[in-house]
Amino acid sequence: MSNNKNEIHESEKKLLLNHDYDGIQEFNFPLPNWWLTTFWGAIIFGIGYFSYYIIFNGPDLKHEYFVNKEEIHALRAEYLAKLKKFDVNTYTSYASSPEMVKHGEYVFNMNCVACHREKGAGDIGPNLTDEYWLFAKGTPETIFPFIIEGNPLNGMPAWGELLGEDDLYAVTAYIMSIQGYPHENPKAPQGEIPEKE
Amino acid sequence: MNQEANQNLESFSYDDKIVRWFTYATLLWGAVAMLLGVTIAFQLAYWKLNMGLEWLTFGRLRPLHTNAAIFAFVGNGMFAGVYYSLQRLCKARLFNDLLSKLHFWGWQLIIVSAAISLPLGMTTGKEYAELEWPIDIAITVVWVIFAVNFFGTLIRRRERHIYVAIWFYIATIVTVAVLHIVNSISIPVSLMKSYSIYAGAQDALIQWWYGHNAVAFFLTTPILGLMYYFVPKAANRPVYSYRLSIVHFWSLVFIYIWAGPHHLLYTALPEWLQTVGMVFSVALWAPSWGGMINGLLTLRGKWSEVRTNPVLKFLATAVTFYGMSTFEGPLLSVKSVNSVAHFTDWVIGHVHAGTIGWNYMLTAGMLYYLVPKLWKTKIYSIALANFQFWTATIGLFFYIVSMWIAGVTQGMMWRAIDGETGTLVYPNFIETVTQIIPMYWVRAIGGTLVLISFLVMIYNLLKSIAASKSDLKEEIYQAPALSANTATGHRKLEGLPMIFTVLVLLSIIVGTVVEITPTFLANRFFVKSDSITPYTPLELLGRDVFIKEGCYTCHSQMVRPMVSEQLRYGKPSHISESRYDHPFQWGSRRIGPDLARVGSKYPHMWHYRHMLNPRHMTHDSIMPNYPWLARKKIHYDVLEKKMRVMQALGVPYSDSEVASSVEDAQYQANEIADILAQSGVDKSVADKEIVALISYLQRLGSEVAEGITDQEVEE
Repeated sequence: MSNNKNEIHESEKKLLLNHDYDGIQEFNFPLPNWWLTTFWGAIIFGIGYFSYYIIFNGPDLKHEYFVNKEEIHALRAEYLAKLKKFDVNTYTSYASSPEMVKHGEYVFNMNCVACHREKGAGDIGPNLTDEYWLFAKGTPETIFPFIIEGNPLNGMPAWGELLGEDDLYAVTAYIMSIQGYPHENPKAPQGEIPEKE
Repeated sequence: MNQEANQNLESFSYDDKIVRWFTYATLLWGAVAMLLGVTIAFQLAYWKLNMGLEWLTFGRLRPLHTNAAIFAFVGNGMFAGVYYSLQRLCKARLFNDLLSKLHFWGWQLIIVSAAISLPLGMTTGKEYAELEWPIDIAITVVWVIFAVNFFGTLIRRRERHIYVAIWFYIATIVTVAVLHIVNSISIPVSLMKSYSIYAGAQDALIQWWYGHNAVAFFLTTPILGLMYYFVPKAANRPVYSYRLSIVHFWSLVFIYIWAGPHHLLYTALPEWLQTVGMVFSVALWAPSWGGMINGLLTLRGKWSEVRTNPVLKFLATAVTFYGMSTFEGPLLSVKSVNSVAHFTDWVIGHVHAGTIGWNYMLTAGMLYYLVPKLWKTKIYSIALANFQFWTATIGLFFYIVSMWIAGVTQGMMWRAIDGETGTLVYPNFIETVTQIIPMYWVRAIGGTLVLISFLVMIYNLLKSIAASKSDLKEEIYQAPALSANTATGHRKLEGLPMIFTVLVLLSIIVGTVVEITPTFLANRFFVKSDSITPYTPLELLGRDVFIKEGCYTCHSQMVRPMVSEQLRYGKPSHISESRYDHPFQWGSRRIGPDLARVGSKYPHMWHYRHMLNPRHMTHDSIMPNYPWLARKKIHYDVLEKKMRVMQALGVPYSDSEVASSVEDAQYQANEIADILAQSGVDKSVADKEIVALISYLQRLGSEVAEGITDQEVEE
């Protein structure tokens, strides 16, 4: 059954082996040099890499993590500390601009509405339009930093990391603008009425 | 031939009927697998295509797609090609016709049971090994039937030496058996529910040892064997290098088995294992390319024919994509590349370059070669075959490029930190999703083209078969009986298939033992942390809902030690956190955010609304609605059995905890229902699955967040 019709060029004949499987023949070309280089190169690289990082305890993945973390958290702490400082003048400029309050409503509808319902009537989170307050005290000075820090244990995210300064001032201005809004079916009051200073 | 030799000739025939059956099955399941793929691709682009039906959600169909593509489509194609070539390479009929039939029908039955059980949510929650224990046993039985049939044929062969294709078939049969059995060991809770005996990091390691090598020994080695048969046959050219065959076969088989942990880079798996996974993956590059070289250089001098002959065109393209994928694989295994690519669509694109580019293309080339021979007919239309080729190639191009763009884009967005403020540039996960939705459309269209191309092939081949006029009577061949083995060296080994098989087994056992044994011995795998307590009974039930709905197909539970992840999700996951997780749920893709630390991040009511319609809470979410979770009752009747099984697996539940599990679960469910009721949910929610799921989600990561410090993470 060696009646195969394989095409074999003259120059290849000396490399043809005496193998025949269902008409399949085999050459015995040498392994290409670039292939051998890749093969041994990868193995040597592997031995070197493993030795450096594992056997000789090179810096591990978490080392990089801790270095970066320290650096980035320092930046972040600085940024958040600065952000939290409530600036009355900036706030007033936002609160007195209908355009900015409107932007605050947009920010509110994108981020806050899921828990506080339209116009802050309260749902999963408390009613933001009545006189009762859980954490903030119903003033922009107290609302603004609370939004930034949040209260993760109560499900209020720390928005300082999610929203920029503009959005934070605008949404504070919007929340102040809906104080006392006559909701038809508001959430029952939570917290206390803050004492007037 | 002289007179004497003629007297020694034995007569035999080939069983080609079974090859024809497997050919039909390949066409059928290929179409099904690709249709499922296209369906879930569109579901990601447009969430409403989840249809609001539990059986059709992405989480349940995605496992069906992967199982169908791997085991139904490629599996049947492999069996067709192996059975055709094996007989001819051995000059012997298949060992036993009845075994062949049992193999065929057994395998189809397994596929049908997968197609029923996976949409019903019966799953082990382990990727590409989702099928539940009775089906796992059936797979084992059918695989043994295949092995007996295969080795029986080898024993009866009339060809002294076994050809390189058969080496690869041997590697397939041996290794898939080992992988499947070791990874699937579990303790049944009921007929269609079981818990893996492995937990946490150990389960992750064994699962990806399996998962990676399912790719290696189900999608690669058998197909390389087919390449070694069909490429020289179709090209009428000798194989390029016998020496290269030997070197790349043994290096491939030995090295592949070690590479599994590259799926777990930057996870809580001990770092030495991650590094082993990476360096062996890099070392795999050359052995893989050895196969590509032998395939492509066999075609030397035949390139003009590659342009006109559809068989060669598909085969050459397949080998080229094999080369591309096996370069991309090692690249993705490099830790720094992986840190961007892991959990993204880049990996999805990589997998499809392999399955479509390599498996589909090679299967197509093989079928265009086989069908005319099996049915004594001609290809109905070369033009249609060319049309198929270009449709598939362009579709695949769209697929790969869109996934590269989506993967790199999302990976970079996840990690982007503002250099001035030290905060995430894209803190809302959903921003990174909406950004890549256009790429999901491109991918879905690419996938559709691939599906269309496959349907064209089915039409083309069925028309070819219909045109067959001759009867398909088996022909009689003659060959002398097996001669003595007088060769030396590797050539001698090729005459001793059983010893060859044992050596293959030893080659794959080395890596397996070195990587897995320490997980049974070393304490470092199961760091004792008193802050970790087992799940409460209700949380355990909720976890089973999580697994049933296939949540792990879109959500990981593994925060990697990177600052961007720490800012987004919280502390890096610690190995001890998943110590009671039978099975682990670290996940492989973040279509949605990581959930390792989602516990107590949101109020119960947030989760309740979110499960009913995720868009209530996240405007642009692409997650399906899960309204049935608020309708379906919790299955308390199996709870005690589940607790007992967990106890048997080493989870420290006391007997009294097991005895009071139903009561305890109902108590916890009522607590959650009371809180939901404050927001207006009917109290009857207390015995619904959604409450169990909420209890599980609220538990995730919360304990360790209190107990484990950064320094302990560092250890």
